[in-house]
Amino acid sequence: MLTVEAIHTYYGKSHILHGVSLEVRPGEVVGLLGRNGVGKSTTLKTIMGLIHPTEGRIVFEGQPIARTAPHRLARLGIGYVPEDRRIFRLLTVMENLRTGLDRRGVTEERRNILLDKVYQSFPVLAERRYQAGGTLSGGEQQMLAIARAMMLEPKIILLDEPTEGLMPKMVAQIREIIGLLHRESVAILLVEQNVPLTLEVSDRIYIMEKGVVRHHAAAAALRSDDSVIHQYLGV
Amino acid sequence: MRFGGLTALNKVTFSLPAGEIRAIIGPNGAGKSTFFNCVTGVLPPTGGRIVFSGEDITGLPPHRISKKAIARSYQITNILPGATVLENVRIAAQSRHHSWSLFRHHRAFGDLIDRARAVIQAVGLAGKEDELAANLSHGEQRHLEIGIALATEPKLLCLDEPTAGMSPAETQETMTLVRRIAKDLTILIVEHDMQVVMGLAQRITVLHYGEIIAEGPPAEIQRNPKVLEVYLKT
Amino acid sequence: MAEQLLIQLLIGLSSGMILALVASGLTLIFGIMDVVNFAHGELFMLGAYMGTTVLVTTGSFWLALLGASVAIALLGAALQITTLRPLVGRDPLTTILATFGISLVLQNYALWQYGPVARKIQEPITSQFQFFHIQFPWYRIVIAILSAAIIGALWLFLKYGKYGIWIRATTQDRIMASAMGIPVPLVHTAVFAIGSAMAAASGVLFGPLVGVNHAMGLDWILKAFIVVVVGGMGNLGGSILASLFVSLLEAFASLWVSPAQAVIVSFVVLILTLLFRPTGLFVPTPK
Repeated sequence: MLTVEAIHTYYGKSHILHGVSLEVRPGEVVGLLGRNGVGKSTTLKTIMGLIHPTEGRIVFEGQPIARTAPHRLARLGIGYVPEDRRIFRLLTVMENLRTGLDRRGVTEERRNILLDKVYQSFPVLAERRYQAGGTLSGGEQQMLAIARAMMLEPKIILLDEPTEGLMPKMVAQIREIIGLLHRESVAILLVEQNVPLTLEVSDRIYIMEKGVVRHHAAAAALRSDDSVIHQYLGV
Repeated sequence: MRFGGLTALNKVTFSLPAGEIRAIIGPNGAGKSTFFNCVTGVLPPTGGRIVFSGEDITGLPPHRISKKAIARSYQITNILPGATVLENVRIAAQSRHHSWSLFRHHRAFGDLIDRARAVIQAVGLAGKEDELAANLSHGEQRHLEIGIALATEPKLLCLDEPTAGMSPAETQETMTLVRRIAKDLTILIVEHDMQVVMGLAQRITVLHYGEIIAEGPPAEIQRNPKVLEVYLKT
Repeated sequence: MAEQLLIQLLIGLSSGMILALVASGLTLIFGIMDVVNFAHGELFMLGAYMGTTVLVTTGSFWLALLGASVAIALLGAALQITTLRPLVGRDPLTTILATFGISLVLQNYALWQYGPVARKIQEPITSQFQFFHIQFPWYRIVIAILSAAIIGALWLFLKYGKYGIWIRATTQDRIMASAMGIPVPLVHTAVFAIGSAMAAASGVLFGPLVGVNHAMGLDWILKAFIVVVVGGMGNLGGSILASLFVSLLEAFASLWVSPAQAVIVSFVVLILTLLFRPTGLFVPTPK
């Protein structure tokens, strides 16, 4: 469904991605692991059109999308949850969700169904629906960022370090949400530094090091033998 | 070091003997940048002291720190893109030896130029002296950055992620460069690239949530269970 | 004395509301796309000229107001698409130069098209009312109310309208707005059009009070810029409060000095704001 082929991305002259390739099949949860600074977030940003790669191809459902504007990608079915959440702080929870709901071809009825579903899965957001986004706690903002992306009814969600800075209780909630998305056949490309969580929820895992993918395996294989993880993520 | 309610560095006690190459590592948000910024005078610490060569330098602004022979390279390069390599390094060298005379022609600073050339040689940019800094490759620009820091004749050189955005080849060159200049210097490096860290550092300090959780030679750090736990979150 | 203060209060409030209308468009545009629109005064001026044309053809002031706003909105959209969209992401200096260039072109176009002789727009309501010992024109009150109404409508649209959320989201974080499927380039064009329409409307409303000429924009635009900075760039509420604040100060100041000198007040306020609360008087200072 999503194929990334040998992309190179630069920040100015800084060469961050040196030919990254990966793929995500429909309904899969794919983990992307690696230490700080190896280019995991940059990979997601490149897929989402926030940066343009200088080389390589990105194909989504048969269409090349490497230089497409982010808003078109959102409409094609790619959801994005960035590393620092970036919810609209001055908009209420409800308004944050509506930014994803107000699309062409979505009936009022469907919108209400989607909203109800979100409020059921994220009761804390239902409680705070008229509160400004900036007043929510870190964990709640993370929930909102994911819920907001879900309003797009995406086929794949790019999740960038959703558990960073969260307490264990919230991490457990994130795990549940990933499970929920998986059950709804939404594919996930998960960038994480939390290795156990990633091993648990992913079907396949890519490991990056300094701008390239160095290893690729089924999560099951890595669960039984994690020496590779130690090699690329340890010290 | 407190930022409002956030304690970025919690009673960090750190000592670096002369001549050592020390790397600081740690997961995201561990406080590496904050530590660096405190030592190099970019951020005054909210508590505690920093002593360098027997002198208390706590809270001194960056230009005074530079006079105390501490130099730093930056992640976002600080070179002057419109000037040549030689000019960039010469200007840095001048900062240590300037006189207030308005009447000496700039070419009279022959001394300075020789010094600048020596530094350019040391960072492997010999032959590119008259090249505009903006035209250098990324790796060469970062080496120039190190050269500029070197030109201020520091005793302590602080390098902030020197190999970020570099190709494997450039990374190797940077490692060779650092080994070459390390002979008369004390070096403090913040890095994410473990190969670089393991290859260069004589000792490593590991920060996590603003505290030092381990310190020691590379082999020890690699075996330290606390460090592994922090990096792999197992 | 009291009645003089009250008269000045009335003058200050009514001028303040018109200034607020001009400034709102300016701050809206800056807030969402970081463009300092140096052509805003020319849009104001062309709005007034358009108003004269429509007035002459239809005889109705209100049609002139509507027609000018729509026409200039379209002009604004066209300008944004052709000259500003290609400059997205570049050094902000380039957009400043671009809008400055547009302002020069528009000024000279007006001179060429309409000639150097000032034109007159007849105000729709010429009656006056007795306010203490002076005759105060109703029209000034009407403009103040209309400006307030237009700004009020804008505020309601932003807060509750379907596309109002798009505009607010794009103003806060254009990258995430894009990631949520909001067509950011289109939103930018729409906001520029709205800002232009507001400038044009101010031009038509203010036309009867001065004369419509190709340089009428300059005076007001300078004040509008000052007020936008004082109120906090991009802060709609702030620019409205600042407009009223500055206009009232000026009105009261002209009790003691001549009105021409009272203008200094706005500059003093500007300098003080930049010195002590550079993000805006009515904006909490970030720590």
